[in-house]
Amino acid sequence: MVSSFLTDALTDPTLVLHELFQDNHNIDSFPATVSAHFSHIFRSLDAFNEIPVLNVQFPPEAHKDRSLVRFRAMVQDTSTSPEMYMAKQTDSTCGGWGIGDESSTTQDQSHSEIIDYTSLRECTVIWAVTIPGECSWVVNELDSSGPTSTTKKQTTHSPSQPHKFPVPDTPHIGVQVKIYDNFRVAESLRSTELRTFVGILTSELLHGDLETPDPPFVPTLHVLFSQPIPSTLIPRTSKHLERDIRDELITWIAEQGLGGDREAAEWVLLCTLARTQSRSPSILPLSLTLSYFPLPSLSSHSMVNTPSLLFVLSHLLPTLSVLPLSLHTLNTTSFSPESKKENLHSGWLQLPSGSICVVTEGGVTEGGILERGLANLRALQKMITSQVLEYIFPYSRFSFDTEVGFLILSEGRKSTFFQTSVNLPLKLVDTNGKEGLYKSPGEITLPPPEKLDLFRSLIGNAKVGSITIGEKVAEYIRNDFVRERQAMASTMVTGSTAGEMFGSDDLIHRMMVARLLALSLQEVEITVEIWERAKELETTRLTRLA
Amino acid sequence: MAFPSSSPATPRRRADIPSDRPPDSDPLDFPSTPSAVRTPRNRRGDIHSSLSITPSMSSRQRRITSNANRDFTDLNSDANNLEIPASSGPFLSAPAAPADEPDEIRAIWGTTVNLAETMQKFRQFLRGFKPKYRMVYDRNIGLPTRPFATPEEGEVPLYETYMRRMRQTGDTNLNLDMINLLAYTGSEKLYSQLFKYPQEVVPAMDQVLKDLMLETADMDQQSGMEGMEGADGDEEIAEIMGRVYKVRPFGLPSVNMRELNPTDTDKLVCIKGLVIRATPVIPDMKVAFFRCLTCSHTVQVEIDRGKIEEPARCPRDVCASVGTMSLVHNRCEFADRQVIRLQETPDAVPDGQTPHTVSLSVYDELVDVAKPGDRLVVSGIFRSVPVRVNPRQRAIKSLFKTYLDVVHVKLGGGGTLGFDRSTRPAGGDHTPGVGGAGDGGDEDEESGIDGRLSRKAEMEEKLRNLSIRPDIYELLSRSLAPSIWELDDIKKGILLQLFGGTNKSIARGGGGGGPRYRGDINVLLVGDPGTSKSQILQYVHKIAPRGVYTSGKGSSAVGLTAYVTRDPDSKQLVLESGALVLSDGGVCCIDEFDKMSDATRSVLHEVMEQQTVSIAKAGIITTLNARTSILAAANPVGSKYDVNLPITRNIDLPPTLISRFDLLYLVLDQVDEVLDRKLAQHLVSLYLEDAPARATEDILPLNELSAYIDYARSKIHPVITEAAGAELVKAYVEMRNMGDDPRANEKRITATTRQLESMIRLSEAHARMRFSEFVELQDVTEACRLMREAIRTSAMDPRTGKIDMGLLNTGTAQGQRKMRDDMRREVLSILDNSGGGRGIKWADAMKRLGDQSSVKVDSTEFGEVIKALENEGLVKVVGERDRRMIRRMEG
Repeated sequence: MVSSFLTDALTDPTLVLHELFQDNHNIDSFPATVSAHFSHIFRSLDAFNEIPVLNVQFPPEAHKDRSLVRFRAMVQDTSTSPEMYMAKQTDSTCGGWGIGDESSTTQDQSHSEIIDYTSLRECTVIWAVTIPGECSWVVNELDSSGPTSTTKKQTTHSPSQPHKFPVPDTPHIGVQVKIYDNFRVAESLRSTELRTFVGILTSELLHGDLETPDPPFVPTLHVLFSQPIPSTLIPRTSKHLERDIRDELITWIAEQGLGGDREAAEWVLLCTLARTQSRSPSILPLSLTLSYFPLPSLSSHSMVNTPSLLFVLSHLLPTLSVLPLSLHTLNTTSFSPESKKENLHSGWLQLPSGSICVVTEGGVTEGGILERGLANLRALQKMITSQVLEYIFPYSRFSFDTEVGFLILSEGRKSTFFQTSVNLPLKLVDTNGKEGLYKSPGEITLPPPEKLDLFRSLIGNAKVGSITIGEKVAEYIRNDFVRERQAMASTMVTGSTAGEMFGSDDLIHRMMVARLLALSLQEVEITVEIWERAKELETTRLTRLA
Repeated sequence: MAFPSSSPATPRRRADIPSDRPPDSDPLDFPSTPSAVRTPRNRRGDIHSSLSITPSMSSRQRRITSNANRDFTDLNSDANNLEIPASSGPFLSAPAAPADEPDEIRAIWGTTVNLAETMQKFRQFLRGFKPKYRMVYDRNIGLPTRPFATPEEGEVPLYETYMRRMRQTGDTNLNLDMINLLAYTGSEKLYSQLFKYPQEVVPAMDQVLKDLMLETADMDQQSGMEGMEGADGDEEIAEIMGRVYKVRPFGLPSVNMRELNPTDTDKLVCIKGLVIRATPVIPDMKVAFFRCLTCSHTVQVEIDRGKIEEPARCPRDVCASVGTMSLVHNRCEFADRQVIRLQETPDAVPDGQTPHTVSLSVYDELVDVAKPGDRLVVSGIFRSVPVRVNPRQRAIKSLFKTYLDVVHVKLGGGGTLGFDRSTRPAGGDHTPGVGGAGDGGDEDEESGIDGRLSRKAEMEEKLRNLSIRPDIYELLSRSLAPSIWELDDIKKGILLQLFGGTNKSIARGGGGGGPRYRGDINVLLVGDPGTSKSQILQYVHKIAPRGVYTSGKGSSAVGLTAYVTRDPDSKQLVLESGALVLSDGGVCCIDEFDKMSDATRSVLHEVMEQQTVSIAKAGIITTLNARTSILAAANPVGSKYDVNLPITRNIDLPPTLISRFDLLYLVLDQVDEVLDRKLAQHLVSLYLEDAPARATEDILPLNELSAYIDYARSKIHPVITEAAGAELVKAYVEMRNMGDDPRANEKRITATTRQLESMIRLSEAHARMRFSEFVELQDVTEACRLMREAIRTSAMDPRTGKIDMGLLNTGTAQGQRKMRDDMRREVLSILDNSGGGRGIKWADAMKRLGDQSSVKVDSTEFGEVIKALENEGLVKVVGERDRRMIRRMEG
């Protein structure tokens, strides 16, 4: 029985809708019924995986019109006004979900068609895009299970609204999503939220653009039901793995991406685990600058300009965005999303929660920074320090909370533009270190797949883990703080160094490091050892800086 | 509920007129035929009802007469087409039937609303409404009311007054506060009718208005009112006859634009928002004029739901040729129309959402009333109309477009961020029409919004209760940035800054008001890095009314004041406000105040005393108001505050600017075991536990604190009592006398008039904080305490340990001045003694001076002294840097 439902739903969702409507004439409760019905059919993971995917490999062109697809997406724009639709056709059949829009073909010019305003209903229209920076291993893991029967489209899909994707000139899918079940999902959708939308794919006019003389057709997904996606993309639990994994992971990152600098690798790992704990008081992700990160040497090697660290990280993290700073990107592209003509254009920084953004400063050359560039720099710095991004609307700006970890690669002794919570000078250990930093993706030695999986789980688990602290350790930390300040004060009185006082900010910083350290060690509680280790980590970092 | 009478059921009504109807009976249909005097038809773009009332009084009748009848025939013919059996034929042929009493049941189709009754009721309302009814109504629902100056004031028939004014000013729009309908016995039903069926009720009201206009005019002529006698009166009446009168209802409770849904279609709604775009004026065809190419028969077709239907064939039976009707452009009638995009205001957008926008169509008088950037409260009819787009490639899609047909616009809604009236030409920005709220007074911002009001009243009650708590001062200061440790006095100072003193202006001065004395309190925080100054600023920015946060490092003078840009849409130069102007009436928080460029800082001199910003750019020369309090934070020159130096040496700010701050606080990072331990405990619990422990102590939530401050600022204007005045004088004298040291022969300055003004402002703020209308002794005492605390930390001369305001006012303390004099003497004697014209090396001079002196010679001080001597022409410095030589000039 269920299986026949399944095949029906897969082959002709429109028909299923019509049949459902036969049994349920209440147009107010119908959307909820639809969503319940379809999510019931596809409740098991196997059934869910049966649904064809919509992604860069399988763009809208690869699917038949009005076929059922699932789309793992980031909500990009929620500012479109709701759309009205006839929930019931004149012949008392089901309306909405793109049904019935065609019906008027026959009646054509007969303008006397009576509109029954009582059956007008609203659906929410949003714009959703492929998750920016989604790493290919995630795509393989989540999408490969789907049926591959659909012919792989050879032609590259050209997005109809390229300005609505954060990273310019990147292949992606952008879809207009229409959600009928308003109260359950649509009203709470936020920008950069991740969700899997399952629905009927077709092509419709861009809503909200009706004033323009020739509105474009865009891929449109009429949602039957949707599911939230965790920030790790692949659901993670805090189950324990072998302890050695952490060391192996650090070694691998160090060898493949950082010229053997294990300490840097540890900091990179910590930085990728960071997340927003609370907004008030603000406990935000740590940001890291890797300074003295050499530029690619122009003479040697191939054309690889991207640090191999990025490829390494892309094997480990679910989402990784790269922001290659250059005068061109600064002055001509936009970092913050901006509404132009009531269309929210995306910006580099419109990234989903939990993603990591690597900013490379290698591409910056001498030259002027225009007003746009300054605004961009300011937006990025603001996001690094306070994890908020301002969306620019006419006459008003709206701040949105973000949760993006930042890793800045800088050639100098500190970042040219930004202040981060941690600055660590890179120390190459390998003899051919500098070349090792810019390997092509093919040259990276991958660990066995099982090991790589463990690496990914470690990071994923740590990202969702939680940490507590016992009273004894808290007491220890307090004493530590008092002691340190007293010591500082006495050295200050004796003169010599007018160095920075060890203050509350330093304590906060150290506590955040300790937390991340505990998470990476798969601990649930901060111990005295972890505290000491965090201090040590800080101390060695500071000696490197000196 | 359907309102088919308003639906486009009969789009070609004119063309569909049954041919058995006498074709030439109605001159309105065939205006090409020479006919009798035409009166204008009431075609309101915002209403475009199928029920078009045609006020065409052929004679001065003072009752609802034939017009009403004709309207109803229209309605009936409508119904006819909807296949409702009705014997409407007779009406058609009898347009002038005597109708002293409207006997037919003429209802809005599909409802029980009797139009004649509606008109009758509205007529009674216009005649009988008096402000006192509104007052009674307001009082019953618990609103504060303004007492009438005289009992007569409440007895004036309000709308008759308005109608007279309309006649005198030639205005044709009457703004109708819908709350007044509720307040007047007998017209309550009109409120819901108007709200549900504006398409039908508004034209009926227009009709009543015109009738009454004529009646009043006639009445006034009879009674021989001035300017209405004889021929003058006739002329006036003829003019009224020729006019189209419009009722513009407003005062519905406003809803959020995202709450508009299909059930609101064709109903009257009220929304608030921000204009982001406005099209140029569009000529909107109201009536199309067609002529048959074959027989030259002409037909007029009215707009229906934004569409004009071209007659497919000539309506004349004899002709009936197909496709011969052609549009004659210059015979068509047009009206002004403008499309405005209205965006949700930031305060209305749910948390974490992006703002929605809605289209508005405005017509006639309302065109160009609102400009991009304005905040509006708009009343209009919500429309959902099918749009047919027929792009080349695919099947026709029927989509629905939603917009508002605006009937009433009010500018500057939303309270907090009104537009700056000085940017508009005088008189150019008012909404057309006569009449405001029924109480005859100013239109209070929220006065029409009942739902909101009771909530507001509730909040007020709560705030009042709070204000009588004895520990309100402590409670509020505790609630300010609760996550920040200690710093109690600073929090109190900032709290008073948020309340602010009262602005005073000497109104009797010439030129419409004399000088203005600022009531805004400025606060500067100076201190070690990492002492949560920025956090305090961020917090204040969040709760302060119109708070703006900016960093001194990032903001140029332009970013702070205002700049001129070209609007991308209109290609016009527009003045965009910077942080200071934006925070007019609020608090501008400036972080890293010391890192500001000199040019930027110089702007602040003007802002902090004159409270204006002058702009001269791209041909725009203007002075904008920046009545803002400034809360600034600065770091000391070195990374650490040097307690051995006076404050002016610790902060890199000109003393002239420092002296403009009422309160200056030093936030120092001092090592103290007990405090450190407490701080660590606080931080560890905050940062290491997954759910940070909330302080359980009694604090006000952010929104309540904000509401409290807002309320106090807008409603409480304390006046200084005699006792408080005396205390202020006493405190000031005391403070000044602190500098009088009988043993010393020179006078230190401990307090100047600036400090007195500050004390007054702080006392007022403290009274305001208590919701007290009077500044009392306790306010002054606390203000003095705060002042003393702040002065003690900031104006103490570390060399003498005495307070010296001269430090802050001129940058040099009295002790310092004395020291300079000594140094000068010594330098001169050294130079004189060194002999020879070569002079001595800079470093040598310093060294020799140091050898003589018991205190260390400060290089800056030394430099200052030499500079002074050089200016006097006593010495001359030659060479650069280390090789500088000081030479004694003979003279």
